[in-house]
Amino acid sequence: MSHIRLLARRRFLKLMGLGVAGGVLAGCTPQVVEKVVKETVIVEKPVEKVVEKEVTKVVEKVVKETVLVEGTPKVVERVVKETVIVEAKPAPQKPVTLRYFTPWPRLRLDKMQPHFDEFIATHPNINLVIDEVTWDVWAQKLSVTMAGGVPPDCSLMDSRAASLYMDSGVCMELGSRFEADGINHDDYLTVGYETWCDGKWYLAPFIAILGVMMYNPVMFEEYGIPDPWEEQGGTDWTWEDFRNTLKMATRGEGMQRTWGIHWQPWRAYRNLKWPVYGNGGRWWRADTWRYTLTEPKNLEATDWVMEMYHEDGSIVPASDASQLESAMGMSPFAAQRCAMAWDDTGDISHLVATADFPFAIAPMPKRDKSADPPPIHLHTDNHFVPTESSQPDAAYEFVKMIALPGMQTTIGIHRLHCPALRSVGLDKEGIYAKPPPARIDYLVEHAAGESSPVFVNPTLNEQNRIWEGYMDRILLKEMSVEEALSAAEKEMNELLASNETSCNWEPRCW
Amino acid sequence: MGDENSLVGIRKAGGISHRSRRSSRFLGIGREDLTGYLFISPWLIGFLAFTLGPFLASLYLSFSRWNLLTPIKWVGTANYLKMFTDDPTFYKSLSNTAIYVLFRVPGVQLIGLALALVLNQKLRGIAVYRTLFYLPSVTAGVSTALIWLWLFNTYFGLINVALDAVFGVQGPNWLYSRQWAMPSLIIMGWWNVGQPMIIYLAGLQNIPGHLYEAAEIDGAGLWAKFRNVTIPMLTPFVFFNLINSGIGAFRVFTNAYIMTRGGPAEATLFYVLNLFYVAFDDLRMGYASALAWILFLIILFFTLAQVRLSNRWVYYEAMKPAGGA
Repeated sequence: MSHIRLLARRRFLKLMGLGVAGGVLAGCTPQVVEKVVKETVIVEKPVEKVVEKEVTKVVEKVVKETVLVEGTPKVVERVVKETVIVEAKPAPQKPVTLRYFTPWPRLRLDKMQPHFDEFIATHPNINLVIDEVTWDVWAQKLSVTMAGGVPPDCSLMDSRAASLYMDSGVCMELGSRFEADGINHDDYLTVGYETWCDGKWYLAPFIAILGVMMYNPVMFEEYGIPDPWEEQGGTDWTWEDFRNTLKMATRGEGMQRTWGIHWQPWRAYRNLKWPVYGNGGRWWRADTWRYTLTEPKNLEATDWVMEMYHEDGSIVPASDASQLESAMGMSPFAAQRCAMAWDDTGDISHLVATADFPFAIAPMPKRDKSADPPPIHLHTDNHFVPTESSQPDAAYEFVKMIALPGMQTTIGIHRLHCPALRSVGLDKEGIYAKPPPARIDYLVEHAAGESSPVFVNPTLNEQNRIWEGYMDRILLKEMSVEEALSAAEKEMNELLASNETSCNWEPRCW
Repeated sequence: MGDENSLVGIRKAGGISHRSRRSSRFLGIGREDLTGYLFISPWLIGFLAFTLGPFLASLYLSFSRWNLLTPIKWVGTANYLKMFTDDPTFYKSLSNTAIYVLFRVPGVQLIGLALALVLNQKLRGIAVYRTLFYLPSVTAGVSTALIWLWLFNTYFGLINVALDAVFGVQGPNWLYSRQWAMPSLIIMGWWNVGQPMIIYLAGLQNIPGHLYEAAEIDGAGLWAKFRNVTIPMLTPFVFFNLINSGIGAFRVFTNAYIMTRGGPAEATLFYVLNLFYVAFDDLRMGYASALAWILFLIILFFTLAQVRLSNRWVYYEAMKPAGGA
């Protein structure tokens, strides 16, 4: 059986007829144009302003043009397509929840609240949730939320943890956004290592923490101690003057005892920097990225402090300071049990609230009259946006708002802390305005000069604990200064060397 | 038909046929068992999610390096090697903990037993005394630590004030001197005896009176009765308390964390406190997990040793109900 299907004669003739008829018709059609316009004209229009969302729209446009039809000019119309960018109406934004994680107490946050309210008013789609935690659990909770994949959208970041977080690559880079918004890093009292890594700016400035020496003029007068400004040379105040002053204020026994100064030299990374750096020493060197605790100038300065501790007994021991504080509810300086105090928290406002005497800022003692004043101790607390943040844009806007002059001024006026914005933080009429501790001018001038930052690196907490442990042994007279600092330096540098850091910790501004 | 009738008959007779047993099983578990599992399911789910899960995870982590921020990195036995060969703090914290256990555990047994003996007397208002002595056991550890911080205050503390008033001596710098910080925490630990005291009290009340009567007939005095009746009959309770308070003492944390932070100069740096610092200050979760596993093995070893040795001194007849064979 054949599968070839034969065309029927009648069907063949029918198809042939249709084909011929079509050919005749086609041949009779007049030619209209000489050419066929095929190109698409794309007209680009400049966009005058940044729109919420760009929309590319293809518009069909009728264009008239003259063409030659059989040698005769004739106007014809043709359709071209035009791609234009049109400004779209801002689409209603989706409501988002912004989680801000902070260890700052409600008392302070209340003062900042008007700015939070304003932020919400200008960003009606943002539902701001403030997760308040206390300082003692802040670091743990933050790291656990990060590990759990539910990080906050933005959080406070202290100087000890900053380097680890940046090193781990969990901080969103903010520098390019700041640059676009005209925010300049140099306008802030920030320390390079705490906000920068690999040449990128990761942390939004918040507050600066300055080391400050204070004294109680009432106790000075009562004890017949010459005023450092009026009778002891002011900015030429020397180590010897300082030591004699402390000796004069140290007297009494038992519960009636008073000391020269409330100072915690065992926290050497912060609290021994002024004598060490003022003596020309350095706790660490940026070029080698190593601790240099055993440099002779460091040992000399530490020995001098330990003489005051052991021989003069003019530095209140940790045990007494802690017990006095818990018993009296205020620092030994505020309780007038110490004539002077070295404070590394920068929280003068707290002292103003608790001390019922007009305290004053003391000059920083110099090695001798010809020496330069020691650089000021400075570290910062900042804000970061985790790379895993679900709302990076909103989070950036929020941390930017905190870094801008409005919020920074509020932080200063209410004396919540020293604002990081240089113009506000160093404003004598700002944070230190009412009632100003006497000689606040000196602190402002001192803070504007050279600063000595903390050696931030990813294992800082562990290193500081090692260091404090060895300082304890000096205080307990179990080791000499040299023995303890040698052992500490060895352990800390080994830790530094064994740590795998991915960052290039290029110093930015110190 | 005949078969079905016989089944019905068996059911009616209260027997369980093969078929009926199969029909009441779900996933191979009997209906009765299933009901039991359902009842304990809240605990079971909690155990699997919050105990067994982290337990196994920590075993894996102990062979890893993890700072909570970057991915977990397998390092094999490096954490354990470092612990035993290159970490003086590990040995320091271990020896501190051992000293604490050595003094705290026997002290708690003695004080707990002494209190239980006193509180076992039929006195007016004895229930109030029992409550008062048990109260520290149900008080939050932080509150207790803060109260003791006050008591140990060198200048204003009640202990030193009393020492001065009664004996005319200047009390030591309790929590801030290397010599006295550890004894301070041990003394504080001795005070927290509510739980062993209650267990000893229950044990004392479980001793049949006829044993004492028999001893009296034999001419036993107070000490002889205590030595030959009370102590043997209490040995199962002593055993339980030893294991319980031993485990608790190895895990000492709150008091040191609140009162001394491990100082001065690591004098009170206990094992778990060190573990906490490693985990949550340094964010070295892998190393901290390895520390936790070593502690687990140490506690397991001492517990098993006590169980093994208990055959020699625990008098299990005491656990049998009075009058039983």
